[in-house]
Amino acid sequence: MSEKILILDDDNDILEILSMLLAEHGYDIRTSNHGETIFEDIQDFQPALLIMDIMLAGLDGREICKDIKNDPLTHSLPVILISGTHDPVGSLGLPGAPDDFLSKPFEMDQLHAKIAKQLAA
Amino acid sequence: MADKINKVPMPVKILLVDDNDNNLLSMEVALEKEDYIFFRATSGREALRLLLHEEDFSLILLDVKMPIMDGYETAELIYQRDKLKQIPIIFITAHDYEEAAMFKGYQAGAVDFIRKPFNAEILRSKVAVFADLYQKNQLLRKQEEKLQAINADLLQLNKELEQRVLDRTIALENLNQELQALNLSKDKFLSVMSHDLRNPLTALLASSRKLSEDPESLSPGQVRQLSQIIHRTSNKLLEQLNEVIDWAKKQSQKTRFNPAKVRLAEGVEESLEILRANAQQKKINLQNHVPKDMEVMADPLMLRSIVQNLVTNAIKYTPEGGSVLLNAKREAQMACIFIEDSGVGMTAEMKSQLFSNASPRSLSGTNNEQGSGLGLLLVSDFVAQHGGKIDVESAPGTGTTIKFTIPVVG
Repeated sequence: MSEKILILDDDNDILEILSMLLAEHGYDIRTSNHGETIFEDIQDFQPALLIMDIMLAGLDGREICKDIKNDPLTHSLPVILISGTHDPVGSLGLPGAPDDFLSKPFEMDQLHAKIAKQLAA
Repeated sequence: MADKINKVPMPVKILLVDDNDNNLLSMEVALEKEDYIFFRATSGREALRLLLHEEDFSLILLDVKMPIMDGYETAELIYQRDKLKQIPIIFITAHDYEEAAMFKGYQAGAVDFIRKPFNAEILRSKVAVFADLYQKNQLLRKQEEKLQAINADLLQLNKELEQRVLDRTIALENLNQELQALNLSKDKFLSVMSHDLRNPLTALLASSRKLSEDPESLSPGQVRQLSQIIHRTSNKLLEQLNEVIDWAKKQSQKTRFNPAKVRLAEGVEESLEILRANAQQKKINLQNHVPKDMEVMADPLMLRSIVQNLVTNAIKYTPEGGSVLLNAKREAQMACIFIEDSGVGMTAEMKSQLFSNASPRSLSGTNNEQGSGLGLLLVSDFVAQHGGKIDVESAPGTGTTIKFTIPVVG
């Protein structure tokens, strides 16, 4: 059974190309262009990995990530944050921090490598 | 000012009031040696009429016993007028006048009494004392008026100053708002550059790469999907690019030319402040020899930009331990400013390319410092805005002297 990845980004083009390319790689993909129903989406879809943009319309991906990491039901879900502005590697390892970072624009190979690393962990 | 008034005393005008002409005459005779001007009245009524027409009496000598209106009644009427209240009155009374009557006289406003027949010496000295007193009072009053005028001036000045402070504060607040707006728009620019451009670029790169990697393996539906993404994101990028260009255009229109009188040496010194650390780091002796009294008509921000760009270059192309000197001299209506370095110098070819905007590119410095090559374009632009010229004297190994001119004042 293929592994499930939930992707959160407010740019529909990114969602479309990522789900196409990752689905081709054999992953089961669900996308959302807002963070408002994130906990319901996780509950419903039960993903093995969450890929999320930092800048979501009206919401901050870092805050959502903190909430996920602080919730006992979701805290073991690996999260890769994607940043459009900078590479906030410095905050990795802090409480509530994501498991990995990637900054836009990125090569698909980079993303594949980071996904594989998180799913293997 | 008080001295001036003291040196030219006001004429002492004395009003003599007596119903008896002989008495008037004898008073004048007794006082005539002094420098007084006499006015005569033979009744209270006449005295009042005189006081209405003639001003600035220093003293009134008033006979008490007169028909129709006696001295007290006359004094009372005189003192009803505000303008006359300060004039001292000396009553002239009969020799046997009793004290109760004298008290009545003081109540009416008398300052003194003289008994008839009077002793000329006493009359002279009393009149002299009151005339003097009156004059001094007048002087004081005039000085007080002057003080009041000065005070009013000060209040007015103060008010104007407050208004100017207010105006400046408002101007500064406006400027601050403009700067904040500019800052905001810069923030927006950065956000557009980083986020709004990276998003479509991410999708564009991923889809175009997928499309070009192995097109034969893709289904027609996938090709359509990928090319649609490419088309959409390219359009998004174009939109963002247009926004950035619009923004940049608006910013450059804001750079207006605002010339003002500037003390050149001070303007140069301020421009050098932030470069001193650079110079020190390379142990370069940076000196400002611009004559202290030279004034130029320049846009202060542009002048700063010119000097900082040229001095930064001079430091950049001067090896450790060298020197960069600034000086200026007057050439007709222009101030010619020199920036002389002991650096690596330039070939004729480098010189000819220096200010041409055909190829803005930069050579690395003696410590491999990098630049965009746009600085000099800006400098020659700014110098041209001032109606000045920029020129360079240099040969490899002999250092470089950059000269530019801007209008001199005076």
